[in-house]
Amino acid sequence: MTWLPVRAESGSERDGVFGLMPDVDELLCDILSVADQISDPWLLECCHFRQSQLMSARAALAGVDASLLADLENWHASAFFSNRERAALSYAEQYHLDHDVISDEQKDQLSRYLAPREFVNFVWALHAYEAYARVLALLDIAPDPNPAAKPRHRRSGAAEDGRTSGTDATAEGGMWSLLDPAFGNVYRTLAQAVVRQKLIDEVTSEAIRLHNASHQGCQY
Amino acid sequence: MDDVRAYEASDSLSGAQKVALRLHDAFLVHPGHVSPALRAEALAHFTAPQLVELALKFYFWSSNRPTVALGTLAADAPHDPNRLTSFHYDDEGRYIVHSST
Repeated sequence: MTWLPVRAESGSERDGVFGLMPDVDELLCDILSVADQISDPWLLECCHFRQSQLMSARAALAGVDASLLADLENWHASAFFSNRERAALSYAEQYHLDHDVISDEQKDQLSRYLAPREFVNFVWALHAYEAYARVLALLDIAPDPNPAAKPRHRRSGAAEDGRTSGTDATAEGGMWSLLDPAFGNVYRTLAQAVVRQKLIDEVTSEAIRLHNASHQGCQY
Repeated sequence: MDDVRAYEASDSLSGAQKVALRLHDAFLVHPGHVSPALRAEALAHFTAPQLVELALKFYFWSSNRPTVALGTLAADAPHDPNRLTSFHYDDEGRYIVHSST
């Protein structure tokens, strides 16, 4: 169970913990919902489960089909996954381990299956779930007692190894022009909600922000 | 910035701030392995709502990772490639860059 002194009134530790900050929790749920909408939700879900395995985010893994989890543990060799899915899993694993050293080969492999707009939206969606799993793991939130069956999404036709084609494959523009506006909107709303929280003093918040930037290789 | 990079040796940061940064290190490196000692330190310095706020700030600050991962696609060059940019978010969540002059 979580190490936070929180009572899970409904039996769900997740709800008990995030219920301490209900306005932000609602936005967190929104951003995950939009993440599902801007990418292939089955592909995203598989990557989320694999990342959750790597960080022992047990709340994220509750209810997941045992066979799928076994295949994800061994995705390199599993015949269950297509080349497209393997490219995404490879990228997702490296994104979790160190997002700053994703190899050109890993990027190229995924680019064969995701056009630029799809690629950008996939990475942001992947990040939304990956960081969420980090929070679940950090606080050691227990699985819900009656978790919903997962995966929630069905494998789409895109699971096949179709290569990128069409106008979207040649989409141009920077990251922000390719990112779905719905995601940008909910992201900005979440930003507003987070910076309005004042239980943590500003100096500590700023120290964390700088520590994060230094660690992440971010110069912005 | 030096205080933050070498926070354990800092004379400026408080005990609580160092614990917050240790938790942040755990979030960044091994989120599933927060030691019992660090958990106890965190609970000694922060309330449960404060710890949830910290975790959600970790979540939000980490959103520079997709930008870094996407590299050239990001098309958002550093304001100054030789140093971190000083900025803050105002109460509306707007990104306010501090003048470097």
